[in-house]
Amino acid sequence: MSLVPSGLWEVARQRAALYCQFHHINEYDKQQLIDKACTKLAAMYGTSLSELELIQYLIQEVQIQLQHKAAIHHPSQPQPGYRRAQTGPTLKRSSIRAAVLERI
Amino acid sequence: MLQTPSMVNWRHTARQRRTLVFGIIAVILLWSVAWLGASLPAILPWWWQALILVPFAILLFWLALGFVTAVTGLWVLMRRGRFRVLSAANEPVPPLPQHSTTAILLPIYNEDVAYVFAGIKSMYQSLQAGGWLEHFEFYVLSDSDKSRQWLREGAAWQDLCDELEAHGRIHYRHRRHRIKKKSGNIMDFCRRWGNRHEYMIVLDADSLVTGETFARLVAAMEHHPKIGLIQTPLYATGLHTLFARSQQFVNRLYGPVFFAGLHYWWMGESQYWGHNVIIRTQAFMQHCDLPRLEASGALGGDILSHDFVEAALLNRAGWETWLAFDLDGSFERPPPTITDGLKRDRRWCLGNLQHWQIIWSRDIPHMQRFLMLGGIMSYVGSLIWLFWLIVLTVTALTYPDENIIEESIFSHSILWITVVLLFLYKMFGVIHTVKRGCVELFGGFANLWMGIVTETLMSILIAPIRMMYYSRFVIEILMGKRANWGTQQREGYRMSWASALREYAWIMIPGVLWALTLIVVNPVAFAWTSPVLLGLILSAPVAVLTSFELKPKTGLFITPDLIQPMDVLQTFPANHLDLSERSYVTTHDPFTRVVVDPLAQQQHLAYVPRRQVPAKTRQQRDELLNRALRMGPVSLSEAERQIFLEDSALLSRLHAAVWQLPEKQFQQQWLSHL
Repeated sequence: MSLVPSGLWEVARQRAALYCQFHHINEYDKQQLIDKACTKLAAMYGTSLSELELIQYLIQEVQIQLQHKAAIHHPSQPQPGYRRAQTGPTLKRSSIRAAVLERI
Repeated sequence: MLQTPSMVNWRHTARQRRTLVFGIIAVILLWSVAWLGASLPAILPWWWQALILVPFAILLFWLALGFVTAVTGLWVLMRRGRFRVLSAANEPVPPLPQHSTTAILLPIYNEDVAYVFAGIKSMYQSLQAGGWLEHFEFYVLSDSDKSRQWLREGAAWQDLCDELEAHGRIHYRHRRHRIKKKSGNIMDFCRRWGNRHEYMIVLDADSLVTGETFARLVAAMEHHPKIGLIQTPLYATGLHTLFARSQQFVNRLYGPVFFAGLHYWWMGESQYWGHNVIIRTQAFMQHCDLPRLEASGALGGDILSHDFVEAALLNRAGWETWLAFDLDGSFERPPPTITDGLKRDRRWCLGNLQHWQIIWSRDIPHMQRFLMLGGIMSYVGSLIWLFWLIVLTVTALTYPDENIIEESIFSHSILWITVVLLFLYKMFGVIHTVKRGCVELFGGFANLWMGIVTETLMSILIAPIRMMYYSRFVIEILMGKRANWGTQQREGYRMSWASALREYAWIMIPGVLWALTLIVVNPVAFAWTSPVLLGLILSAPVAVLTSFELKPKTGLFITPDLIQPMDVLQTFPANHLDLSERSYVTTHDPFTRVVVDPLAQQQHLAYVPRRQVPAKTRQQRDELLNRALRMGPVSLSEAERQIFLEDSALLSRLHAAVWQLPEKQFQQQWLSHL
């Protein structure tokens, strides 16, 4: 998954694209989402950001948009990180007495 | 539900049968020992003669028990047997109870995740195909202590539940406080959910059981309310090393005869072999929570081979335990190589030797005492055999001109009795196979005989290796050395010559010296002991050659499971291959995957409880987070990784921060570890 950045924006876009890829988002939606995030950042900060800041802001923006998108498509589903799955049936604790092994 | 009339008087029949079995053994023993005693040279003092006769009698007793078991087994199979606890295979499965589901338990410890979950998938599909699924629930009971392991397990569980739409039918529990190993794991299940299930079926990580077998077991428990446990006969399958294939062949050919023979004299006091068994949950909970043994040294502490003891405790409480000798469809994997078999035996040896203390416990039924003694003797017997051979060798060296056993019709009769006891039972397996019309399932007569001859030669060579190892195990354990109770090797591999020579040199060198000494001093004695000495000298080549893989269609050691596999055996390979390619299995580092991959993290967090962390601890964990970001996952110890994995807030923060790292750091420290 190595990449060769041609510029700061390109590096940040590729990071965001990879993040979207992990979310299994289709190519069209991915491009739209990243374009939207980049446009918003460019309008807010112009070209004054360093590589680190640009990646941070872009990823944060993509994360927000992904959460927003998930909330629209699956309104009943709790947000990531807050869903608690049932891994087993409800506990009904029973006490157990250890067997006695007395020597003859 | 009432007992069937034929089951009511089983205790009386058992007494008669045991009298017959041990009566026959007594006759064989008296005949052989008397004539061996009479044939020993008079020049030997009485105590020297006793050193030859007593070990001989002990060894012959266990040999004769095996043989008589096979004879009675053939008898049972020919007469179709009384006192069968299960309905016949050609009868439809009786209706299953509606009042509760049966729990199918898979206690696992650092096992191959794809293997375990592929097995569950195959068994689930088999139950579904038979229409019995609604009567069962699966519980994966993990004792895995490595985070990379239980992360994979959790992901595999969720993935399988999603795929099969089995949420609420397949459960997963990871135990944080692992006490009393497997028996503690099962008891932990009983404490949590024992009251939900009238019956539980305990499996092993490598178990495969057909849906019909599950259903027949439950129906049998419903039909016989005094039964506390039914053990299924275990058939080995699934591997293709020469050693494993030979074990699978032996198991399939001679197994039915032995299982029927054991049923003949065990009856309602059967042993429990640890897995592929159905248990009445309440009976187990009331009587089978094992205490720690008080003895000092290696024999103290947790009871390791818990199964034999649990059967004894059920019997002590009045519950019957039966072996369903004629049940098909219950499988396990054999060890892939001799060396892996010996590693497993090292653990079992310790577990069995611990039983010496249980034998002397109050109110344990005598039959169970005897069976535990049998378990002990399967290891101590090797030490006695080695001791006997040493005594014979010393005799041959001390009296090189004497015939230890004079040539006579009686000495020949002892030789022939031994040969019959050792090899004749093999014919019983053939007779049973021919009678059932199953020769084609062993690849035809030619392949069947080729298998029998090859396996006999292999077992002659392997027996002395086992003798040496078992003797060493017993001595080491009695000197206080403990064994690791770890994960078994379940997949085949080819053993290298270098590792075989390193492993077996301690047997080969004494073997060569032993043979040379006898050749020089007493060639006749060398001829008598040559099969044993050959096994010792060739131990490394035997270990290497038997680890070679055979092609599935190779004619040697064909079994019915290769020609006509049951449904679980048919679906398992494809399920295993499919799951082996899933990302949670193929990833190098599941921890990094859970940190980086947002969906993997979401899946993991789904079963991590959200806990409040005190301020001071939070501060320490913030420092840990900063270190992880500065130096990457390689800087984190196993314990530190567990902190992240069990703290959902901390893990979420790490995930967000990792994705915001500078490009070079992100690539090198995190992405490259995926």
